[in-house]
Amino acid sequence: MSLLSIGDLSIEFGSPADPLVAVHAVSLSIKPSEVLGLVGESGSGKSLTSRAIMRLIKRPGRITAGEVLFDGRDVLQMSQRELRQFRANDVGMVFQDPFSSLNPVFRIGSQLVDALRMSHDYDRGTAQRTVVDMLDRVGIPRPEHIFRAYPHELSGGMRQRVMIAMATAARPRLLLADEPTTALDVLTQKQILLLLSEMRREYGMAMLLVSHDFGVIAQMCDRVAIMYGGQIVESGPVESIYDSPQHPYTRALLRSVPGLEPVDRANRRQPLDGQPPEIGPLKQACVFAERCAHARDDCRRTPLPLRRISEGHFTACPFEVTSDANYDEAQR
Amino acid sequence: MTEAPDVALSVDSLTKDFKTRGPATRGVAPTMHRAVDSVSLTLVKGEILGLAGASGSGKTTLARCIVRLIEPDTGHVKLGGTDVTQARGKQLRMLRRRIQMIFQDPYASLNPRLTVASALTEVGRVHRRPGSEDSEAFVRNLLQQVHLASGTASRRPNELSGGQRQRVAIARALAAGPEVLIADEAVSALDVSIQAQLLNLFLDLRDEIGLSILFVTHQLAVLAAVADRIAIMQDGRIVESADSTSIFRNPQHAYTRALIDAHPHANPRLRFDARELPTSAEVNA
Repeated sequence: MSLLSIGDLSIEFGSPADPLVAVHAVSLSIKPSEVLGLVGESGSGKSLTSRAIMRLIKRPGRITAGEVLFDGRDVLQMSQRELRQFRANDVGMVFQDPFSSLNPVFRIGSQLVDALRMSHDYDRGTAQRTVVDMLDRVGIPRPEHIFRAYPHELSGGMRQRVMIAMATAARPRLLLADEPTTALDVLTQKQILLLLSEMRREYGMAMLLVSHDFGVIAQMCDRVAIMYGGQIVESGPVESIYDSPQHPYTRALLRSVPGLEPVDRANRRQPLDGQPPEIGPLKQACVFAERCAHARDDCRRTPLPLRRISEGHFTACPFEVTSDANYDEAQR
Repeated sequence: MTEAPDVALSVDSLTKDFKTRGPATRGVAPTMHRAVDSVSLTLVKGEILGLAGASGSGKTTLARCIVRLIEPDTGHVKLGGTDVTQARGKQLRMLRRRIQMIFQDPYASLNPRLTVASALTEVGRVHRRPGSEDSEAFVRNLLQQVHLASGTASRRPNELSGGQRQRVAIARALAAGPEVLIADEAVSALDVSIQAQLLNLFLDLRDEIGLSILFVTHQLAVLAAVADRIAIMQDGRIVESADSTSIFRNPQHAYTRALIDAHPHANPRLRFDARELPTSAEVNA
């Protein structure tokens, strides 16, 4: 039984008569305490998909099709009252930039206390004690002290810990984390990823981790879905995706991830040429055909549905993996 | 001090202090924080020197001191035998032409009202660059060097993607005809596939026009793809420096090893907590 199940979700911009399709027919599901990674580049629709779960799509964007079932209830059909309850108790959210999620003119503590009292029937004293306890649990040293600090007095890593404390305060069953470590340096990133693993283990919390960095995804996730041009092009268990990526885009993406092996002068990496597609009308073609070295005429004429290639592993590419010298080189 | 002919830029005992006031010192007299502590380094002609460290290690302050966007307190920076730290007026302007800098966010560093062509031509005109009289050819050459289509010339920054904007920022730096390029987190905000393209561009500039590049980043993995040598900075000091291969194969300093350990591997079997983290099946059991 899935905790979250998204079915055939589509998100469009532009006029209804002439829609620009940002997300098309995306389906995915997360089991209780499972971590799903959603990986893709800017404009791939990964953030929109995660925001749609909370119904946080801003106009002129709109959800034009699909369902978002959380524990069997369709979030898209909820009343405003139900939606408020759902956002307060069932789901937490952490964004890339913690600074923009905190009000600069109020102390950290009072913001957290207010947020907590919105969702819980706590008196001020109880809320304050809970907040200090929350800050302590996310590894903030001297939490009583940070309680009185302003957001600008904290480092990026500390601010992100505060956001994680806030997002997990209600012990949600699902945490949506959208690029939670992208603005942080590698040492802080590691600490935040370890903190998220720990919270997931402690609370049995499920997580949707959105990132453009396959390295970050691989650190955390059980399964991963790869998005390109508003569609899922491949999904499966993270080991299976890493060991035998099937879609040409996934292979190019893995090849682009920087590794720790020094590249000598004679032997460069071969990156994927061109740029990701811009949002536009829906095309009856494979979304990746324009940049794909293996594309054939059929790929440019018909949309390609996901097909199963092994247990839980799906790809939108109809072709078998062919030998790809660059890819093999990068995997060495 | 005479310099070996193959040195493009040298930094000698550079130090910079800042006044600080944090939550720990509110209401207390400001204390001094040494952001850069007696740093010396040499950038060899035609090499890419990586400068790596976490946030607050002082790497950006050092980069800014080199071009004197921040005035260093003590120490010297020499470009081809001329002391940058002592230069004034016209001489400083000349030196700044020869050391160009690019930043993380090209959107913030490009004038939104100028087309790409006028941004590039302006630099050529200000510095009276040879070839800039024929602005069309000047722009075409620069765009070619950074692998942008000639049609980009008439675009404004808001019409370009992040990767294209960073290429324009590089072209604008090249328009000044620099000997040294300082790239401060120049690829950190870009998607990985675009990042890989940009890294190859830096390699092209090194190999094709012999540009010397100081590449500042917090990601050692990025340096693995471009740097010939790497200097590791912690708390304002260079704690280790060596050729790229030695840094990755045989790191000596604990901080270097910590940066290497913090790299998120794309291989899920190399997780930070691979031994501790239970699978979801175990959590559900």
